[in-house]
Amino acid sequence: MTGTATLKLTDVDIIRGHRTLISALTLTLDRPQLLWVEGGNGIGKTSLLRTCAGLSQPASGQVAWALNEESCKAPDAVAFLPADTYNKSGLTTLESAQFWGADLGTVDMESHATTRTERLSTGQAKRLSIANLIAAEKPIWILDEPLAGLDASGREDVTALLSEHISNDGIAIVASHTPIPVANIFTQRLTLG
Amino acid sequence: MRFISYLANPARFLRFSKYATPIAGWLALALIGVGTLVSLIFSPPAIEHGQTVRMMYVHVPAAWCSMAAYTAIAVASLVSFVWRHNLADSVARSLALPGAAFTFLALVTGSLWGRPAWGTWWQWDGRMTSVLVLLFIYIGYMAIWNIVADRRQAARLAAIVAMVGWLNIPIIKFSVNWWNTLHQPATISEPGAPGLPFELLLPLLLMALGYTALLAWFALRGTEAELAELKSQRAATNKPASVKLETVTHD
Amino acid sequence: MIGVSTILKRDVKRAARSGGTWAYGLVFMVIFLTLSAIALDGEMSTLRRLGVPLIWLAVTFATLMSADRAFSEDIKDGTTGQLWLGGFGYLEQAGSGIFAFGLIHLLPLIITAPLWSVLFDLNSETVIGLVAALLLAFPGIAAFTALAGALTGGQGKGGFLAIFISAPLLVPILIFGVAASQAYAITGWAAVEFRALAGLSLLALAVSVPATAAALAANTDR
Repeated sequence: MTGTATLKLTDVDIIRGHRTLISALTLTLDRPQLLWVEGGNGIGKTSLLRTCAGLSQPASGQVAWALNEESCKAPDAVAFLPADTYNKSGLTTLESAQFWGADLGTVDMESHATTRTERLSTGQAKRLSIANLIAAEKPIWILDEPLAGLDASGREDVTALLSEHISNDGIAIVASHTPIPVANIFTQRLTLG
Repeated sequence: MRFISYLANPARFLRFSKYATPIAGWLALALIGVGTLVSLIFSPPAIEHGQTVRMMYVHVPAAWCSMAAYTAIAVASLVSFVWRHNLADSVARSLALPGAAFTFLALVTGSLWGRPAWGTWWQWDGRMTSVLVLLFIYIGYMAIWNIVADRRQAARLAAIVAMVGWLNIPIIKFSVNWWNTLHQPATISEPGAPGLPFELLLPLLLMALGYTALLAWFALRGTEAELAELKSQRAATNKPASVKLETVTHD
Repeated sequence: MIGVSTILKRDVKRAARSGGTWAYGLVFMVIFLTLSAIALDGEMSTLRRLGVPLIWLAVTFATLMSADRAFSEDIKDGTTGQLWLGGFGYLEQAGSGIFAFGLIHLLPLIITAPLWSVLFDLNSETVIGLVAALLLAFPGIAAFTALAGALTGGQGKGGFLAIFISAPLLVPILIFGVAASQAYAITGWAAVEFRALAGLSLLALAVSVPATAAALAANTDR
């Protein structure tokens, strides 16, 4: 990780279809921390996360990213873990990881190197996506339901990864229905209701 | 440009359209009414076309408006794409159906006219072929609006279709003309030449202006309707989520 | 680092392992040509005259049928957004996607065209002209079809719509393609139709790459 990153939302409106999900949200993340985004289904968690990742444009307002206080584009600073897998059928786990420049060792998946990705379980597929997240080496992690579909050891691994990322001056925005048990980490909770 | 950005505000647009819409509507009605009277009663039959020349007063303005409407859609799409003006989307979208209808009208009247003039309902001549292709482009444009559920996404994708289509229209026209002159001798001489006598030019002009006013009415009316719909839907659906930010203390 | 070759390798590998679905366009083309010959009574003098336009139609329609393979899966599963975040921008994605689409879905049709020309008893000059013209049209056909695929790729039932959108755009390439195929036997390589076709094809590519990139960005914004 290189230096500290900043994410700044100014007066952001998020509209989907005819529904205004979020109105005039202003939020600054400028130091290593965990932002836990909580709220019921369909309230706009994923839309907020996608907006923070630069994948979606806000209906109005600004989203700005910076590295070492120098403004940059989202791809320079952000890695995004979507709720659903984006692994491609027809590729093996190793081929998929190589495509994204990821290392299977970081998520304990070497033993599945030759398995086709379509045969992986939900949890294994998620681990493969997490390997891509780690490999991207970005200071801002945006994770949509990273714990869903994982077993107890998987959840522990993700929690440990998050702690390590934030201790290394990283920022993590995590949408989750359950609390993320990170200890000694500055944590804020954003509740959408 | 300043005029467009002035109107980009919905409230200002509604103040403008409150007067502009009825003016365009009544103007269209009056011009088309007078134009029809003039073209049916006062204008003489042409020497080489006989009574069927009266088809021209529907056909030529329709063909002209089919192109004018598409150009307006492309310009509105560009404004919507670059400056992300919602109203420009509405204008472009509102023009698609009347534009396609004029295109269809131009084809049908051309065919009806062609029967006595050429002895056949259809000719693969450059003009008719490129107008037919234009109708297909209109259908593709409208289909994008219909199939994409999210309005903002539909607007952007439709704008791309409109702009790419617009860039290609001259190329399509050129190709079809080249193809036509290669394979077929020129078949018709339309009385659309500059030397047109006043008795024929007057109804033609009246009709063309009337159709243009009708297009303007469609654009204004459609945009008004969409603004009203957006407003009622926004009002009817839920409020945005409340946002609460707090620091979590680990125990 | 993800580059054009990474995308190409991935797409070709997946096509090869897809259980032959990449060849559907080829099968469609052969069926189309066979049915055309049957509908034309198998009359060789007619078929000889119509062989070139029929093969052009078969190539065009077979490619259009595959339009929803161009970007649809990447758009739907979120790969497009992930590639963008990974530093592989929408323009690069558009360019490599168009190329990969052409390579997998269009090139096999062009390469096998001489084989199907036997069905129409075309002479060798005509076959040379046909293949040369198809190769010149390759960038244009691939670009417009893939563009339509990118525009409709986020939708469930985008396939038919992609045909609506790209077919009118392909009219000039079809006109000059057929003309160039037939011109070779008469005027050789100097035929003006070849230059016109190459120009149209490159123009189509130049318009399609930014338009495809814009469509990918619009489809990611959801």
